[in-house]
Amino acid sequence: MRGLAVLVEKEVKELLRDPKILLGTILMPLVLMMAMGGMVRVSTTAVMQAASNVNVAVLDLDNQAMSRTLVELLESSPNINLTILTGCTVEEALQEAEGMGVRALIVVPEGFTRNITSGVRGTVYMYSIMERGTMAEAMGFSTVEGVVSAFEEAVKAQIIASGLPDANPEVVLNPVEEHPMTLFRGELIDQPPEQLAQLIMSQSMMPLVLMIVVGTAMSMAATSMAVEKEAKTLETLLTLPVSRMTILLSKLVGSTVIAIIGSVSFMVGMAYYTASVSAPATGGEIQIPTQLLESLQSPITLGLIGATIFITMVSALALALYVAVYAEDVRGAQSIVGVLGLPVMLPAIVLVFADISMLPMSIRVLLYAIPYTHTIVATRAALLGQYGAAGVSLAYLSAFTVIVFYLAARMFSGERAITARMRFRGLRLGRFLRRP
Amino acid sequence: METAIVCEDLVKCFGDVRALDGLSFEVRSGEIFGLIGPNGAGKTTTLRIVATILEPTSGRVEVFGHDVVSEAEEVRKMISYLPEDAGAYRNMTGLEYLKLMARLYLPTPAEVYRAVEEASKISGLGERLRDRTKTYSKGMLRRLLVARALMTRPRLAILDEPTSGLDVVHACAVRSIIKDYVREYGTTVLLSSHNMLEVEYLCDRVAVIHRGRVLCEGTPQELKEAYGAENLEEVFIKATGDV
Repeated sequence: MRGLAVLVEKEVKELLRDPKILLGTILMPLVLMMAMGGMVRVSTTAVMQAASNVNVAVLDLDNQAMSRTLVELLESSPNINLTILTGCTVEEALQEAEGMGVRALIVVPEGFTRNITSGVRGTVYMYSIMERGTMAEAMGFSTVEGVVSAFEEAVKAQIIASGLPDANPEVVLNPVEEHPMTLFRGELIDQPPEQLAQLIMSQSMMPLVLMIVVGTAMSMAATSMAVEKEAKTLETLLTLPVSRMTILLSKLVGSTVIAIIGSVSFMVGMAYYTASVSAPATGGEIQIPTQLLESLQSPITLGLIGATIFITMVSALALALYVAVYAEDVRGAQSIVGVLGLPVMLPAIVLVFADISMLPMSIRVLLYAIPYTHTIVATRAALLGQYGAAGVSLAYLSAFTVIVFYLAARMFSGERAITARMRFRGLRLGRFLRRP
Repeated sequence: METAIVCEDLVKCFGDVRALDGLSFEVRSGEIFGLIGPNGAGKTTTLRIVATILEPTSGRVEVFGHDVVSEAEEVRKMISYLPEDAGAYRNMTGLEYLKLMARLYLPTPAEVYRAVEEASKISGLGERLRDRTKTYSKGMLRRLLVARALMTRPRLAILDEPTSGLDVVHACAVRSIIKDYVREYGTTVLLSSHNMLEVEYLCDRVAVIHRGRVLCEGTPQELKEAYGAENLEEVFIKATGDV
């Protein structure tokens, strides 16, 4: 196809050099996500540091066996710098603690040990001393709560041991042990269902990301068409010695290239953000069911997903170009594509969390009628190894794509690329407003 | 002499508006043919049909024997069109724009190089060709576009108001370039203009059109004699005033 490479180069150059596109589509997602990730990381680090080095004061008014054990536990905790206060009232201790920059004051009242040993609950007063009310200050207090809870566990064990000498205190406290497992399509997985659902959902997020890419590409394609009109280059373009199909394809390819660059930028930013947010979290290894693993690794799955993405992209871009021809300028094109984006994004948003078979019949019919539902359905079916269902959805999507591509090609082959205008014949709003 | 354009009984309707109403004329190869007429006469519509952008409602247009509707791609290989209110890609430099256009028309890098060199001379933009076109004044942009339209040495150049937006000095220069091109490369030119002096200076033959029809056609001298006028401006007023 003569001239295609030259025109694609032109499309990419023009779009990439447009500051609005460079900033909004490529740099913004990267910078924004990285900045958000950076901020989360900084605040998380601050919170973790606050929790790992807490200044605590203790006022032991009981000074008996149990209260001494608690003070010893607090002293031995690696995350706590303990100051022991003596010979003062609670009010004085609070004042002193605040002056010392202490985050928590623990007061053990008189009679604490006696109460516990005689079967009455003992009370520990815990004061969180906050200056700014930040999460970091609250985290420091939770470290103290952790030590007191450990002390409580030790006291429980001691009480059980004295009353039931033959019993294992751990068994008395937790007599039922849960062992969750999941049966996934006949295969037994030694892990709770939440983990597996999380894994499958993470796969389902892929179509959502894909739809974001498609939405961006549609916006690019519509902009490239509208820019030709706005900059008055369309007439010259249509008289160049290249086929109209080449012009259409160059716009499709150029927009896709920019959309891919934008998506990569988005994903890099997203990966950084995710890493920042989940950095302190710990998690066990997830066991993937063999059947799922097989379909994930199958070339048929990859081929079907690749075809779905490609066909979705072509149809969405052709659709965007088709409608953008009716716009007078870039702003008009963006508005039209904004409206078009709804049926493209809606199925992706609905189906990320719900399976289509779980929805009421009326909504199911409506969703199935939208071609872009089949992008999600085909991708998910291919991932689960349901190739027949994926093929049916792919066929529907392909049929829609052929129609849209044919319409776009016809639009470009004739004069409508120049003469088409959005008309609202039914709307007489202007006349209505001018009425006295 | 070979016929470059045959335009026969051309009708173009936009909804209820009949922009062209049985327009007919012929352009010979190697001549400069001018369309003159008041605003809304159908000049731009005619040029757009010859340039394959619009399709006639009825009638026939051929460029060097090729029909503009059924053989549009063949026609596009022979023509170069300069719209009246054209622009260039705003984020490209003038040089990049010229190279892009040359690469679409010409097959070898040597020819592309030659065309860009020629366009640089025609435009007279010098070092400013290295700047993005969005920084150009209206006159600079027009010079770039005229250069683009001529640099590929097309068989037919369709120029809609070629000197629109140019100052007197640059308008004169562009007129000379067009005239020299026809002499040197045998390019046929179909142009429209509101500037009667320009038309008289440039065109071998002229057609006065009004309300989508040709009122009269001939060399500037023939038309002046036929209407007993001193210049084309008088011919224009007398011809359109008669209707």
